[in-house]
Amino acid sequence: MKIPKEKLFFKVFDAISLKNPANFLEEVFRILSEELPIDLVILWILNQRSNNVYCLWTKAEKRPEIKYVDKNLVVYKEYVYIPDISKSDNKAIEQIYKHGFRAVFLMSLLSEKDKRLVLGIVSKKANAFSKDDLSFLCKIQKALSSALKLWLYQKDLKKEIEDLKRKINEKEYELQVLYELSKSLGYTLSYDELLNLMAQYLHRVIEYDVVATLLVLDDVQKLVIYPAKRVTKKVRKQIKEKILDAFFKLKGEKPDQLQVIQKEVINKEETEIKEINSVFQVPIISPEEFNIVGLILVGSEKVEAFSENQIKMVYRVAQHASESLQKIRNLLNLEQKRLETVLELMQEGVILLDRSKKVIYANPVGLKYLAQLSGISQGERLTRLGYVPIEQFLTPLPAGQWHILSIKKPEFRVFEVGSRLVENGIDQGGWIIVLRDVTDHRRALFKYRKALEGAISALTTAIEKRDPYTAGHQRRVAELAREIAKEMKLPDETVNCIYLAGLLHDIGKISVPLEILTKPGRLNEPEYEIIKFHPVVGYEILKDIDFPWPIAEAVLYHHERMDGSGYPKGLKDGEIPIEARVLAVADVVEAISSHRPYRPALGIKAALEEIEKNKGKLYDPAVVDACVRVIKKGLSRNKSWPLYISKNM
Amino acid sequence: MGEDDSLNQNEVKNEVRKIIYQLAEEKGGDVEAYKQIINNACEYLRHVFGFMISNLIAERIQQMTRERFPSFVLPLRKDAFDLSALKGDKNNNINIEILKFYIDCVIELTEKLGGDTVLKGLVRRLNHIGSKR
Repeated sequence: MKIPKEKLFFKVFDAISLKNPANFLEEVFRILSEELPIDLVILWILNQRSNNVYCLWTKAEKRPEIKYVDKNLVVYKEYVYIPDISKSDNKAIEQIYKHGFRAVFLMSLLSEKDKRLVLGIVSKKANAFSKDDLSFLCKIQKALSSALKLWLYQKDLKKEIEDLKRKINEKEYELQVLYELSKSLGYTLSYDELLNLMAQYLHRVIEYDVVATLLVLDDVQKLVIYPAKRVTKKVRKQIKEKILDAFFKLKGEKPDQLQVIQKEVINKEETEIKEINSVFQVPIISPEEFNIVGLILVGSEKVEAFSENQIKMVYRVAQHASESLQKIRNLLNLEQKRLETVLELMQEGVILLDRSKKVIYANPVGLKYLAQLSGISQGERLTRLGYVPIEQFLTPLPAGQWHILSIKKPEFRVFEVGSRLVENGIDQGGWIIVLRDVTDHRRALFKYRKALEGAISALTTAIEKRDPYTAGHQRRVAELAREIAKEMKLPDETVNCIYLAGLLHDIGKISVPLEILTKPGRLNEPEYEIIKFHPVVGYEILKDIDFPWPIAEAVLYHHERMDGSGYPKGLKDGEIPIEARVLAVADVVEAISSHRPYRPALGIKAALEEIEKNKGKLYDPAVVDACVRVIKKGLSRNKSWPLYISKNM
Repeated sequence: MGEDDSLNQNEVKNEVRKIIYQLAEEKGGDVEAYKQIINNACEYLRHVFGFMISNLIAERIQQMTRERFPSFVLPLRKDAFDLSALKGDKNNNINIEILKFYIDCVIELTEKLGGDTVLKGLVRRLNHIGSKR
């Protein structure tokens, strides 16, 4: 030893006081190697779980590879000195010998129940350490041991703190997810939404490949698969078998009418799952009845994909879902009771069909109609209503329109039939059919309309009595206009309105002095102005009568023209109601082809020339075309208009 | 699951069964020893599955056991996993056979619900109980 031991001890002590033990050990042995024949320092960490060996320091540039660990190194003593290891039969020591070392001083730095640390100070020379050297090493052993213990405790503590922090973060995240889920579930009012939410939230806490939810309730039996990645048919089959097997094991029964639905894949880009190798399943239980109503399956292609904590987490999630499910069930039961009461009180027949058109529900009136019109009852397949195939009633109609069904036996009845396809996104859905018997209503309406038409007809007759030149004009206009409207395939109600408006379109002429109406020559300006006022007067007369059709408006605008040159308002194109556009053409055609006080009849040819010439300018082209077709149809049957029309009165 | 995996799973199930039997035998091999080990295993399942679900599982196991051994009385209790109230037949006889069936049911349902993870967890827990002796 070149320097006094005390000085060396202080140098070592200074090095130990360095904070980082990895550095302090290196520094200590660098200092010691200057005074002692040390070539290598090895540390063995021996504990219950694993044993490790590290080369802490070496004089050489390259650290020798020392792997073998002997748990029995320096078990009962604090120090062991092997001056010549060539004769040692200990495998750990033998390994050091093989690397060219000859003397080893082993010192125990820590000896606890579950952890031991052994330091090996190695030299290339046999008998390298003198008595003084050994005595010195023994003295610094305690200092080294204390420093190392402190470092290890600090390290363990740091690790524990890190672990705790990680666990707290995990728990915080889990709590956050649970809180958000529980909040969302609070607003959930349908099973579908509940199942969707579960899959979404599970995706946040677990890296799964597929989630499947089985729900087996009185009215719902479905298995919904939520794949995170694309799945093969084999995987789908595997999932179904697993979930049904578990359900059977837990409940002792299997669902008999299970519908399997697969939702859209979350990560379409990912490779297809070919097999499920890790799986766990969580029962959904009804908290009130305390029985299993479903299962959640979580699966992954990876082996041992899920931790115990994750499984526990999903079990907690399922408990929240169970409570929410019970809430939905109670709510749905209440809603169903309310709905059933309403349906029982309804005068309309309500029938629910599934996709195969089997009657799955009918209210009392619906059951009566089913028996009366189809001869079937609930549970049977509905193929017809009366003699009409049911498919005809299942085609959608615009809002407010109904299919009509008339039957003659056992008595004449008319029904309005409405249908709506219901798709709920989970199962296959079906149709709701509503039937209402409108026979009495139609009869009353028919009588009312007949009375109204009678009154209108009487009014027309009264006008014609006053003005013999226009006698029959309104009737002919009305009939031609009706034929045009039919040719244009306008709705029945519009056709009827046009006919009645035609009968009254010149009612305003009641205010025109007779001498003007019957004047044989051309009218002067003031007279023409008086004539032009008749649509407004007609409107004034009719506007307060509560017709079910826009008759007053049709009368008001029947002299309007498409280019805005008409009167009284100078409306254009689409501003003019269709009823008035049809009347305008029929009025012109009738007027030209009939006698007038100021001229003889010009004939139907002249009338057609007039409307063709001004088609699109003064008259609606569609109306003109329809009018031409109507008149030509009459001519082809050798019946000139108005005779043809008159014959059809 | 492929054949190899199902084999692995069966191995784990056998491992659980073997450990339970071994622990029970070490404790004397009588009914009380088996009951104690089953309770220990069920305690772990309660820890993972939660009280409500584990009780439901226990009820189902009791039901299955009743179906298999109709003469034995398995009372439904609030804590259904607690076997301390397990009664025998009319003569108050209870044999290991019924408890072994009970163990099989526990293992089967644990595998169905918790998969490999919980089965392996159960092995660890039982080994831990064994090592504490």
